[in-house]
Amino acid sequence: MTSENQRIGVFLCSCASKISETVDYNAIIDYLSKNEDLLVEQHDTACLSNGLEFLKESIRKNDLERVIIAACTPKLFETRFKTELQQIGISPDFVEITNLREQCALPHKQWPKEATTKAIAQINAAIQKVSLASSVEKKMFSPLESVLIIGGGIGGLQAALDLASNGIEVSIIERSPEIGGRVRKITRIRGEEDYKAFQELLESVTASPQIKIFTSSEVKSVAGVPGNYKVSIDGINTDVLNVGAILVATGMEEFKPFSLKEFGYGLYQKVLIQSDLVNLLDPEGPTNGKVLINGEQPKKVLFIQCVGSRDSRFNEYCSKLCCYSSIKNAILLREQGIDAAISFIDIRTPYAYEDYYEQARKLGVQFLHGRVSNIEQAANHLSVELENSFTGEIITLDTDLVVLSSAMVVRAGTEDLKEQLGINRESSQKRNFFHPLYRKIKTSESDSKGIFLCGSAVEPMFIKETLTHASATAFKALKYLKYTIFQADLLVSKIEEEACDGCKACVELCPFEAIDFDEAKDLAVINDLKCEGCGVCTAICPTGAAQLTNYERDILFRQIEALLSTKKALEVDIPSKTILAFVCTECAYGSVDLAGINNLQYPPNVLVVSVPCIGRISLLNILKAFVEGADAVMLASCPEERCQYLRGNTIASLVVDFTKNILNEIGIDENRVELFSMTSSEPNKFIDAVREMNKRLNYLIAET
Amino acid sequence: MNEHVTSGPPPVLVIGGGIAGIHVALELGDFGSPVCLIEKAPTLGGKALQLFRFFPTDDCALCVSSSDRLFSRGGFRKCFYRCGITEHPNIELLTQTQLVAVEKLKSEFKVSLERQPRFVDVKKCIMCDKCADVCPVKVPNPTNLNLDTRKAIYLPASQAIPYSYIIDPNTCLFEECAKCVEVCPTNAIDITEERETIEKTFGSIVIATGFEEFDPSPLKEYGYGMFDEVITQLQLARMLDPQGPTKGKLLKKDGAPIKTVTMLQCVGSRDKRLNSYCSSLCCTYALKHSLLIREQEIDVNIAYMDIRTPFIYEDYFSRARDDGVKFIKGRVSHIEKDPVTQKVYVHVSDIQTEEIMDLETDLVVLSAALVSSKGIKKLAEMLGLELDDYGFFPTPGAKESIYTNIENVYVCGAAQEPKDIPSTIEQANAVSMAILRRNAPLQSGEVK
Repeated sequence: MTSENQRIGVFLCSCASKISETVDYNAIIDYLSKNEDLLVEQHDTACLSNGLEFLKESIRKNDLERVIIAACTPKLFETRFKTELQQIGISPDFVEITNLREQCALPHKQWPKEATTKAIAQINAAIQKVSLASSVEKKMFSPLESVLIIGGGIGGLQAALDLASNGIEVSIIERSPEIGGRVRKITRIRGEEDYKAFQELLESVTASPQIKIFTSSEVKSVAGVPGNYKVSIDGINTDVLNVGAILVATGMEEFKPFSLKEFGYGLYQKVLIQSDLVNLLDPEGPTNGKVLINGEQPKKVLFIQCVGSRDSRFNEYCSKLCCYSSIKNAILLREQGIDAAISFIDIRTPYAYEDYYEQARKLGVQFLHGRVSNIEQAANHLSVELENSFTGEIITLDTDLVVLSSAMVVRAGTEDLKEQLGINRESSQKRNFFHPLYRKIKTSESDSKGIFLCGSAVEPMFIKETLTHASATAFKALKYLKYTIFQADLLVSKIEEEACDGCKACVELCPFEAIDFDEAKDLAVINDLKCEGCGVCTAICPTGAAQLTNYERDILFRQIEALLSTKKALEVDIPSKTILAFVCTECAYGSVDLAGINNLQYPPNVLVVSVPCIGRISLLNILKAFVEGADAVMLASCPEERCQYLRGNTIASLVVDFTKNILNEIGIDENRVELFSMTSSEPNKFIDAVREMNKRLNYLIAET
Repeated sequence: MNEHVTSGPPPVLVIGGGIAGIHVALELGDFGSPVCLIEKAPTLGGKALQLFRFFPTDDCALCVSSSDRLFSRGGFRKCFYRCGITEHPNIELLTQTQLVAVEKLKSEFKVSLERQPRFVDVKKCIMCDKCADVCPVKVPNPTNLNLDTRKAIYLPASQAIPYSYIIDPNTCLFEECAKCVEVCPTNAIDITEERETIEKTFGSIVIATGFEEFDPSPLKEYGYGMFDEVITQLQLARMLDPQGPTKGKLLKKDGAPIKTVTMLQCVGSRDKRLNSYCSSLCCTYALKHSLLIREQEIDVNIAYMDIRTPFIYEDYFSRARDDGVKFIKGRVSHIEKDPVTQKVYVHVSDIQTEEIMDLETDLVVLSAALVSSKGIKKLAEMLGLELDDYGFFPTPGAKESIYTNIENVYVCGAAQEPKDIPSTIEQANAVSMAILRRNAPLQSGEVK
């Protein structure tokens, strides 16, 4: 809280008059100067070095502790301003950037008077925010510099080497008696260079003193917090490992298609799946690399693609690797003088793998477009019914051996592991692989901090993709363990113990499972290290015990009051309808900014309150807006499934539905509230939302 | 220790400021490595600037992983314009810059970089637009497919980084005009600025030069460059962008609505005459575009040989079929335009029905091959890099795909081979790991 004589500095940047040509800075200075607690200054280019010097000089001279910079969007230079001002002792939590360019001057060029009113309202709201802000604690996060890697296949091994080389203590836990995984046999088949690379990987790992290997062992339970996990192991050694991070590298396996009766797997000896064939082709396998069944070499082999993949009965996804595998193996068969045919729907050989497709055709491998509908055992061959996709005809092929390209699925036991680790709670039924945090740019991270995903546990991967991904995951884990700054800002929620009712709503709804419950004290307890600062707990807490630092109820209420009362007071002649918009600082804020950047215009009757996640907004905030005179309330968030706080937007959607019911009960038309979602590259979606709400207001006014 | 390299992690040169280069720079920069990120265009962003949306999440292409150094909270991704790369203490950004010479010393590279003049000081430009307002020169805007115009002084993209205008030296009138110089409130414009050569030394080099879309003009049978109605997928992406030249609506040149779009897969790919490889991404993004087009209630036909949608990209294929996209398995022999009616026809033989069709269509979209970037051969020569026959980087089957034949020179992103975004980011992170492994192991504690 501010002290008695605390003065706040308000710096208006005109952006070389780009802002001030629409927003009347003289009027603003007049208005603000009436407040003795404010020091008001103006500059043309606050972001450039001369502006920054001016700011710092003025702050020093006037002994200011809290600062408002009314300028362009905070998203551009907030970091710059805060870093500069921190050099002269101003806490970054006491610096508030008010968006007068992208969200005021630029989109409201045709309404200079209203834009000026809006600017003053925004500044008043900022004054409230910065006066009530607390300086956020910094806590040093010291994770243990050790990791547990679950899975000793090539993914786990590569990650282990990368981490060990940077001083991390690594423990690998492997379910089977031997490390190396599926790829040992495959690289033996592929040739010397690949097998050598595999052996080198194995040797480097076994030779490293930083890496401990536990074979024939499994995870029994996981306790502790990110940075300090306690994992108990079941197996040859029953240890409890204390580690800073966990990497899941459990890999994939081939689906056993017993239930697809039409293929006869498990029924007929000469129906194999790809991994069975690999055993036969393995030079160190039971047949020394010769394809022999009961000592006999088949004359013809038929590969059948997409068994259990691209199939709504089993896995809708494409297993990606099987076209390449079948083609490579068919080439090997041709080299052994065996005829090969491949029945397929689409042949998928990306980039240079296309060359193998050509090579196979040149070697006489037959490619048959169609779906296999049935396989029967005849006297001394297999009879395969194939529906030719071109003609619709069903043709019958005779073959000696069938190899099914069965779907790649995640390893058995995955669901248990997900539960033990507390990740992927909402993974879709269709894809049982481990779900990364965000598939576009975050495939190494799970939805739980401190737990990382490595290799084909995430999706089917070729060998080089697995190794690359494993290195990427090791990097992310290394960053998490070595880089201590990022966890330090405690913009987290706090529970006021006296007010906590023990209802556990926050415990249930926290998207990060960051809230524990102390049964003895009947209190919710927030885990600082897991809290991401979304504010969902604050929104749904019935007693107000849970409050997100610097987005507490009071701060939001004062901002809402300041925005609406300022507008009401200043536009005496032509009162207009007012929309209060709660906007998440992630995607939605970007859209609002981009509207301004692209000079798109919308009416200036929208006043914005930004929050980290739309999940912070509660029934009370919406009602408060109406109480203070808003005619409509809109919420703008990231789109479905893209909430950066996992599901803040889903919770907000429930809150809005609930609020609509309440509004109807108290005689306020529910159409005055709406939740809109947008990615940030869709500023027109924001404009459309504003237009929609204004339309409803006109319509509603006509009704009453 | 070589006296050229300062103590602490040796500096890294990242060549290419697209999604791959940006991520390597941010990750290494977060770890305290000094990074110099060079980009030959006036802004960072690469292809992402034009593509509107990326699969598999169908959201913004201009999306960057949050720097842990700059953002301790607030989500895991940041829109391009606020990713903070200009504020990062360990990253030096040099746009308009290319590598012109390299000398390999014992454990480092001495390089010469050439920076073309921007004529606008990035430290002073505040993007107020006053210069463009007074500029008398108007030219077709290549960023928007020449469908609209820009001035000789312009902002290279609405989310341009660095945040600065630039003068196009080919169309500016320079001293004969100089109106922008007078009107700039921060005196940021210097029309006498010259090309600059910068010498630097680096411990590692990362190649992140990306890819190009093959220009299908040589394939006369498709009419690209001859008929306005024939465009490529990249151009289509631009048209589907609500911030693009047609505000996201598909319209003919005269503004009339488009009723049918026909896409041709594998144009220049899987083609012995040109590139025998598969460009691997075009099936997925053709389907991605089809879904967006179907939202505008326009019919879509896709002529293909194989539909290649790995793993969950299969969803795009299923959704497209459910949405009524028509799939024709067959090769298109040629595109024709009736000189009288001006109607466009796609001549295709459907392998499944054995029909030969002349499909009337309003727009033809060619899924042109993805090829290596223009400057890669010269870059490879300078560094002694081995490329494959197509200008991409060959990678062994059982190693990470980030290494080149030269020690301490890495490759990531589509420069290595055509690649989607998730794999690009993975490679960027793997490159960062490899570079860290090369340096002395880090001590724990706060990283500067």
